[in-house]
Amino acid sequence: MEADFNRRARQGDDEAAEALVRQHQEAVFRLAYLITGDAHEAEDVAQEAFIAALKALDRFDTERPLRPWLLRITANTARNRRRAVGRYVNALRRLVWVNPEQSSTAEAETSQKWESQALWDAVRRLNDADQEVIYLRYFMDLSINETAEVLKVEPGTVKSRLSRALGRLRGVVAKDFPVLYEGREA
Amino acid sequence: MSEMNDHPNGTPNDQGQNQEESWEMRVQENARQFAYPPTPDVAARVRIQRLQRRPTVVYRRLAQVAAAILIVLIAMMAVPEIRAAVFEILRIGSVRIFQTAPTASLTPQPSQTARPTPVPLPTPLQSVLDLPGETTLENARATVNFEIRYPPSLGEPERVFLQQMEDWQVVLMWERDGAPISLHIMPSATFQAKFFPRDPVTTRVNSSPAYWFDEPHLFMFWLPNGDEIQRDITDNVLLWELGDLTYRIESSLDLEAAQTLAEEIVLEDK
Repeated sequence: MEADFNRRARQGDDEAAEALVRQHQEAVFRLAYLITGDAHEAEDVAQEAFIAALKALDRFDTERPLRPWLLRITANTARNRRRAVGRYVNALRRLVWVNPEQSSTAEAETSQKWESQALWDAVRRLNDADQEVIYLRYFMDLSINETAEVLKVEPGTVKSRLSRALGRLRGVVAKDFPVLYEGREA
Repeated sequence: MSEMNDHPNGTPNDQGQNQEESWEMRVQENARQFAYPPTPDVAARVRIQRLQRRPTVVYRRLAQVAAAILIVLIAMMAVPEIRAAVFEILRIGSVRIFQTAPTASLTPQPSQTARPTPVPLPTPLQSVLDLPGETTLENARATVNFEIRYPPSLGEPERVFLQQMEDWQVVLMWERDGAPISLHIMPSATFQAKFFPRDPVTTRVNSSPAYWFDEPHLFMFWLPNGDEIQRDITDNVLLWELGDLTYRIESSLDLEAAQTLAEEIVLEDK
């Protein structure tokens, strides 16, 4: 089914191209958001990534799953964009960002959201490679094999990178986000 | 955060492994709960861009180019010594060449007399190696919407940079005998400015007109957020246009050697 859409899209079928974008836009936007930290920036990145992907579709093996390839283009586009402009502006924006839903949600849900947000803040203290493997595996919920496909490495390499990244994340959390770390030392 | 699942009765190794697994589960659980902003209708934006790309982009870029030329001229005219010195504009592809008298300096200098209008300070880059956006050739190819061609005799580029101006610029780099050779490829509809103290040498690359710059000069381009990037070019530059793209080879090569490399880049027969 997906292979058929991909084939039609690369032959210039606009409907197939749009269906393909709709199918993957949530994953692409979310990864772009995690990397850039800004919804508007993420929307631009997602658009740019899809335009690039649709143009490069004739070089893609349509029998392979599209999502890892799309996510790779997205990660590269987002990373380059973040380096080029707005890195520090976005960091500042995030610092003053207040979750508008906090006052109206149930306490447990609010607490969970706060912890997820704090986890993201902690992940963003890591280097780019650590961030990426954590985003793909845990935030985007990709399998080890899919993560390996996006990063163009072996599954074993993903496991070892994850292990190291989680270790470094634990260090950041222990030092700067002790509330997230509660209960660990018991 | 969920409760820990440590096993207090296990061996120290077991406990360490359990702690790692438990930590991974906590990360996974929190990551899954992460509250993303609502996903926008990217498909609609992509559809509109694909449908309207050609005419819209061309007109938008023309407007941007006109605006950028105006900004450069206004900035230059605000500085008396430059105002007197600039006297001609040449153009090849995306690069506008502002010809200045040899004594004119565009780099802000300490001055005894106040200037009537403050000129915004650009971001200076000392070298091609300071360029932002280093990436891989594969990613560059997947990102830009033009074919990335380079002289086959140089082999695969050793370093690749992608810079987003109003469109992407690709910079490919090689090192030969300890000196960098860089090839800059950009759509001709973008805008860059070069300030050169005299007439550049007029030459050809295959059948296309080309310019040769063999004196230090100033080069400027703009990022999408309006930031101006300045580079003092000390190497020689061969500039030419092929199809819809503008190419620059920046190196310590002489004209003949640079031309030989440039002529290896050809459009494929349709």
